[in-house]
Amino acid sequence: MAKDDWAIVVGIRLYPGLSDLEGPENDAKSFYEWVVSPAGGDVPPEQIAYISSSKFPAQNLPGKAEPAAATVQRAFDDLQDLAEQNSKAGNGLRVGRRLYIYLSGHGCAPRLNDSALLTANATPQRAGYHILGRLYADWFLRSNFFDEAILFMDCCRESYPQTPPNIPPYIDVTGADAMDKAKAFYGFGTKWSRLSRERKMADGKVHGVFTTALVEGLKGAACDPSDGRITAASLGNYLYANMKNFLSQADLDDPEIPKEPDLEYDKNPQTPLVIASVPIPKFLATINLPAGTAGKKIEILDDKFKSVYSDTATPPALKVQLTRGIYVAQVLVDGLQAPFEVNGTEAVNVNF
Amino acid sequence: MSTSNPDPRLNLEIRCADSATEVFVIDGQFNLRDRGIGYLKTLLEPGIYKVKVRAGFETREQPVILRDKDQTIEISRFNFVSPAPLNQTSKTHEFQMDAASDGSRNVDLSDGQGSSIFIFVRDWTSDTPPAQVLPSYPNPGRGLSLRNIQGNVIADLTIQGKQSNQWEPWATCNVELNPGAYLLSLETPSGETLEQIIVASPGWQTQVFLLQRSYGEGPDSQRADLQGAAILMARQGQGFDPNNDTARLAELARLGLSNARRVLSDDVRQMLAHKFDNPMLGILAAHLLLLDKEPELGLLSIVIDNLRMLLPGSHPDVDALSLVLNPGAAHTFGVPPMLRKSWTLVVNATSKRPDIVPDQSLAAKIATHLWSSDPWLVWMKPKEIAPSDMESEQALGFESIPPPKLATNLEVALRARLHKPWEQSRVTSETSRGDSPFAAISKMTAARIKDDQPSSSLGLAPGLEAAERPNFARLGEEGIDKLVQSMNIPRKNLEGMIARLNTNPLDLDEI
Repeated sequence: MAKDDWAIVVGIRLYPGLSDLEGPENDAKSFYEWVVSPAGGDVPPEQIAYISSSKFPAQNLPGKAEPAAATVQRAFDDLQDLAEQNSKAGNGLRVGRRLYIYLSGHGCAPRLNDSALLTANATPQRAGYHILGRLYADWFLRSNFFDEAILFMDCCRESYPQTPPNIPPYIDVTGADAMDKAKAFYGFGTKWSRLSRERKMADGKVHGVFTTALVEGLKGAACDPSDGRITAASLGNYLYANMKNFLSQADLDDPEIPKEPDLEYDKNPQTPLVIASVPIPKFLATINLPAGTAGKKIEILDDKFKSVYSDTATPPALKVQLTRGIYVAQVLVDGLQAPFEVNGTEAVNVNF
Repeated sequence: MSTSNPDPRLNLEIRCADSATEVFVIDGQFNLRDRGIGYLKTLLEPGIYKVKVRAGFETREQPVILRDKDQTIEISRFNFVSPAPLNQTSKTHEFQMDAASDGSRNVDLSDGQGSSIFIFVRDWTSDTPPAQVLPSYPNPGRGLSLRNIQGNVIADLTIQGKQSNQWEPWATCNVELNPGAYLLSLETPSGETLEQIIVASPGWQTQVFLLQRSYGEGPDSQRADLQGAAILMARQGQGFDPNNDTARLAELARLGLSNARRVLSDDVRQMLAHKFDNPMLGILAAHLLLLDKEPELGLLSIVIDNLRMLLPGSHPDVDALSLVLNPGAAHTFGVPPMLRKSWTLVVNATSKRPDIVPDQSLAAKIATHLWSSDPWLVWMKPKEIAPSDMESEQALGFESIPPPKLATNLEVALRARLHKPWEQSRVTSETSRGDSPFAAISKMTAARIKDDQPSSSLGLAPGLEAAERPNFARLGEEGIDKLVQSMNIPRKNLEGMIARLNTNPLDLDEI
């Protein structure tokens, strides 16, 4: 168990002052299930603040709706208080190793590069009720209360400059050597000034596109196929390449819908942030073989031209399990060659 | 005699037809191996790679097999989305290109001389007409007007200029003007008014192109998209040319700035260093230079000098850019600039020079009413809060707010920014009751927050001593810099807000 890790997971779908959503609670649940799972984040359940609309009675008036901004902020405040108590107990002014923050719901961007989760008590006139996830993550790193911060936000980031930024009401605290040791991964489902997307996914429920891609990645699709580690870099590369595969065709065809998330993480390979380790998954690839290839040698080479499969072609198709990567299928004697990608998110069908 | 080991690596060269195209080379482990803008030549070990290119919001990918010889890939132009009906962009029609080209060469109204502003607003829904084409379509220019700085209408696109109400309607107005700053004003379906500055420069035509966007729900919610405007410039008399490569480049620069992407290729930088004759490209490129981690200030200086030659007289965006190199430059900004990033430069300068935005000027008045994201500075025209608005606030569940004390959201945020919760001030919080959301913390002794201990707050309780109230001077110069930058509001505006807060203390329960 990751005894030194903590998590704040928020999914808000009911907004009496705005419009209700479908996906955020499903998304928060998906992320919670990963972060608490021994195969995932392995965070002790009692160290997870799981805050969602269904945990509070529904309200018609925005002023009474929960979870309100102060309710979510309470979770961060309690971590601060815990650090104080740890300090008084002689254990140092800190909380633990890693803080996960997951926020999903309506969102906006009060300022350039902001991403704010609007809380249940927000209205168009009171968009100041929000949580600026990045600022909280930054604060807990800078203060050295945690060594690592992993932030995921699946919210719109439409610019709403009339919104006053709800800066965390904490004075600046900088821990000694904090910034030398700190490691972070910040993932936002959409770029600044853009909308995020949700739709019905394979499980029949509505989910955010970013969270769907994220959870698939965290479950293994984003691991480094050489060692099974999910690092900040491997997760980042996976999300950049694959989030678009979870968009609907209409969104893919709309050039104004961003096809990539907005990510920030240290790319220094010498000091990787290892998020999790998983068994290396393999994915099915179908190579469609022309009739004329029957009896000839079919070979699959990896991106370094190392043979990973070799056999006699028996049309109509060859099915093979491969780790994530870029490959080329070839029937050399016929001069047939087809590069293809196994990204772990979509069916692979290769044609010469 | 020694033998040298030949370098096994191979050259991959990628040439893009659009010089503002971002290029990425990704290896088989999905790691980024190299990147460039407009062009890339890179040495790689033999292998299979993925080349990804991006222009505006569009991307393309293709695999590359580097086995035993160098390779060159040509990337054709992207059909990116632009409100300007440029050739080889998506969301345009030939008839709209023709209308823009013709309209920009024929004057509709004359309100001065020496410069002009051309506005072209259109709708685009599909490449081909639908099965059922309506006999007429709404004017895409409804609610849109060009005004002088005092707010008087010069041209109303609802009724002036030229229009087509056929499928994919358009409206244009070409106005001759004296050089100066003007307001492009849009009345939205909900009755709000959005405005932005359009500068008309001596000898130039400023061309404003707009598509439609939704400002609410329902079929009548579509109006001109000010935030997404394309704004170009051409010499007086030249008009709009859909095939102009520099206009295309300026549009890609605008999209890069909108997305905070560094899209200035080496050849564009070379062009900026030697000669460019499109001022809007120069202004956008100057801001793109400032996105670099280490901006080339020498090149910025050349660009600004060139802009001064092209645009004689004062231009608020050029004046704002000059603050980067000369913070003490004797410019004042009574009129806001066109670009949001130019405004940020001006606002940041006010922390040391508060008078750079004069009191009661248009710039001072709109400073707390900004509406848009990059690249354009758009604001919602300030209006008085009507008593009926107070009643609707009470209906939303905030029964305890007396109308005269209703604080703006900005004032609440400012108070939160200035207040120090760790001090032993008596504050109120709605989170001080109940269990922690962490079961582990709830279980721990001495972890509960007591009602009389400081906690997070967004306000001050009544009866706070004057010395404990928000105090601008107490921040110090560094604190003032941070406050101005974090709230993106000029210093004098912030000082005024704090003065109001101190004379009308606000209890958290009133929010």
